[in-house]
Amino acid sequence: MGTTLKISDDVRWGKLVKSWATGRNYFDAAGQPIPIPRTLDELVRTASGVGVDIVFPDGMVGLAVIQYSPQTAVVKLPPKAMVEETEAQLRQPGAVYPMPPFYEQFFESPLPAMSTEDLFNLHAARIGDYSIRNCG
Amino acid sequence: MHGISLSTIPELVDGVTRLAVDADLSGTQNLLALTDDSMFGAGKEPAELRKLMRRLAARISRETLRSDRPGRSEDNPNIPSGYTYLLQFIAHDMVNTSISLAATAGRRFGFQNARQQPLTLDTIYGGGPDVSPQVYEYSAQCVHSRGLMPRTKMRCGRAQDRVHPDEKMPFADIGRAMPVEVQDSGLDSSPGNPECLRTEALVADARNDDHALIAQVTLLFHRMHNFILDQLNSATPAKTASDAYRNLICARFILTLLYRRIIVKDVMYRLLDPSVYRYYFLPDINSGKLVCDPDAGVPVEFSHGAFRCGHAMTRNSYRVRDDTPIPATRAMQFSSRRAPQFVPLSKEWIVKWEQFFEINGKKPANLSRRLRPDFSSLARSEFYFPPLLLSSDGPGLPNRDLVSAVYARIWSVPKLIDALRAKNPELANFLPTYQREYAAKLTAWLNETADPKGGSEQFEAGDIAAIVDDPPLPFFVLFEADIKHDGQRLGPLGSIIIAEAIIGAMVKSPLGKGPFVLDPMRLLKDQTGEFRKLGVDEKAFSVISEMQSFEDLLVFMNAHGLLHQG
Repeated sequence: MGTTLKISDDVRWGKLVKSWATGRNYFDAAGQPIPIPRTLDELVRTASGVGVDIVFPDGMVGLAVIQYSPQTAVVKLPPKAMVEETEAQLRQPGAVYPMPPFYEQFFESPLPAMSTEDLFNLHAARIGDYSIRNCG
Repeated sequence: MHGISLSTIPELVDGVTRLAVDADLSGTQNLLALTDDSMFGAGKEPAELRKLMRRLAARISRETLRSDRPGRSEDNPNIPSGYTYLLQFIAHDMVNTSISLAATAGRRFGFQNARQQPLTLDTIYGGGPDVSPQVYEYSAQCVHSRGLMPRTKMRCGRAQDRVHPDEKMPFADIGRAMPVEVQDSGLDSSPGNPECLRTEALVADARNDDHALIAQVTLLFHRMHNFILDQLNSATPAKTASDAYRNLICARFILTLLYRRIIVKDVMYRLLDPSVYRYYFLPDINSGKLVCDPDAGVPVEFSHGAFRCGHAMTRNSYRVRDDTPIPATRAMQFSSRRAPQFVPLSKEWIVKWEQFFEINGKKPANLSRRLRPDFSSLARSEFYFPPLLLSSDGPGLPNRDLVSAVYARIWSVPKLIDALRAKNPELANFLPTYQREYAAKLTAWLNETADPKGGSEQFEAGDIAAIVDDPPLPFFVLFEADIKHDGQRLGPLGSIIIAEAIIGAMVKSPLGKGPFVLDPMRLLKDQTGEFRKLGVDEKAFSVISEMQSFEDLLVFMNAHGLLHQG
């Protein structure tokens, strides 16, 4: 456990999620489908087995896995405390948006310095995006 | 040892199907003369062996699933994290191959160890100012002499503050340059274009620009060279070009002497098995005990086997300047060659060295990971280390190291142990036989974490027996370290290989020749007579202390304001 969510390998984590979503094994085309975990421990073990280390924030014990359907809008609300914690971070002098590093790496461009107003707007836009848009 | 980039050569239509001993290892050698049946993977198809290495890498990756893992500390109290990158620096100074054998499936065309003078700091000096001018400052003296006076000081570059880009930061990075008015299709490099990218690292060895931490180690050596040179120039001013070359060469001799002493007295002392250390390094360097021929080059069992242990020492994050951990993936961004958009170094990565080395008895915040077949997720990352051959390989450095071992024509572990014990019975006192000491433990380790229903690739029938019969050296060295010293230092076989390679390098490339010879184990002040032969005044040495460890070097540099230069 730690204070923030950490995923050691975003590419492999994404492949694991795609494996669960599609029922295909994205690590071994000839391999068995990978069962969807029912507990946090199962999730950690399954992820470890494919080379992904996940650390959950302190106190996080439950797990909900939701698969959207194209006919139902799902709005995922983040926990109030998490929103407020990030807002507090963004108010700090010299704050940098806590963007996962893979964005910079894939786009080969460092995140620019931003005003506090822009940091808050980006925060709002990202929360809005992840609450409703389905990746697929 | 070719750095993160992987130069490859064209695929041959009729590729290698069986590997055989090769007498010409292109600047490297086998530790002992090798026969076909003593080679790792003897009698096996390399392509099949490569797949077995993928399944072994998958097992290594499953080490995170061990039931006893929560009680096992991954921190190595014996080796702070600074040594991880000092070892990488030493590796660059021992071996420089432009091609990865893992990437070329063992084809050696174009493979050559270009490091002909190991452990002489070629990795920072390159060919000197006339061959590697990019490393050296373009000084006023050089300007005023129409270029006849050589460049002798090494470049350091300004870091950046991304949040306050107008802030002047210290010269805390290696030098980096942007090409201007060149034809590069990836650059818009017209003068004044703010988009100009610093694609060129001003260092002698491009691998020292692989990431922030190796660049920071390199910077330390640049600064220390400049300091020594200043002392020499002050005591014996360089009025002519030959004076300037003399002072440059003397500075290199002094820095190399200190560096070699640190390697022997500190780095080897921490890394090696105590019995092996005593045997090879006490009371002095015992070159008479070598079993390998130093003139034949660095052993492949070192370059493609034992010294890969450093990959297991890397951490997922580092506390670089304070208690805030920064993901090590961020360090990988700082490379002029790979990611010029991110350089120069940003201030978060200007290393406070007391965080990485023990200084004045204070434990550093960053300890290396224990030497075990258990790697950080960064080392196993698919993003940074994708499979070289999709049909055969898995992701990560561990898999790459194992594949390199397939093609490097290195000794089989059990046979190498037998051969060393037979060659020198003294070694048998601390080098146990493989079957007695390791075979059963290795079988048990390989069977652990098996989970046919998991997502990870499992061993096939016969795999475990095959690995126990003939384990790949880079893996075995870590397994041995775990069994013998709980991962705090290497075991006997890994230590013997490294001791042989390090002493062999020092014997092959002594510091001086003929009437001028320096001994890294003797005090500098007792060797001033040697420098007098070159016309250098001994006043130049009066401030340089007789350091024996990297800690001593850092304390010295701090006392002289060399760690925080504006």
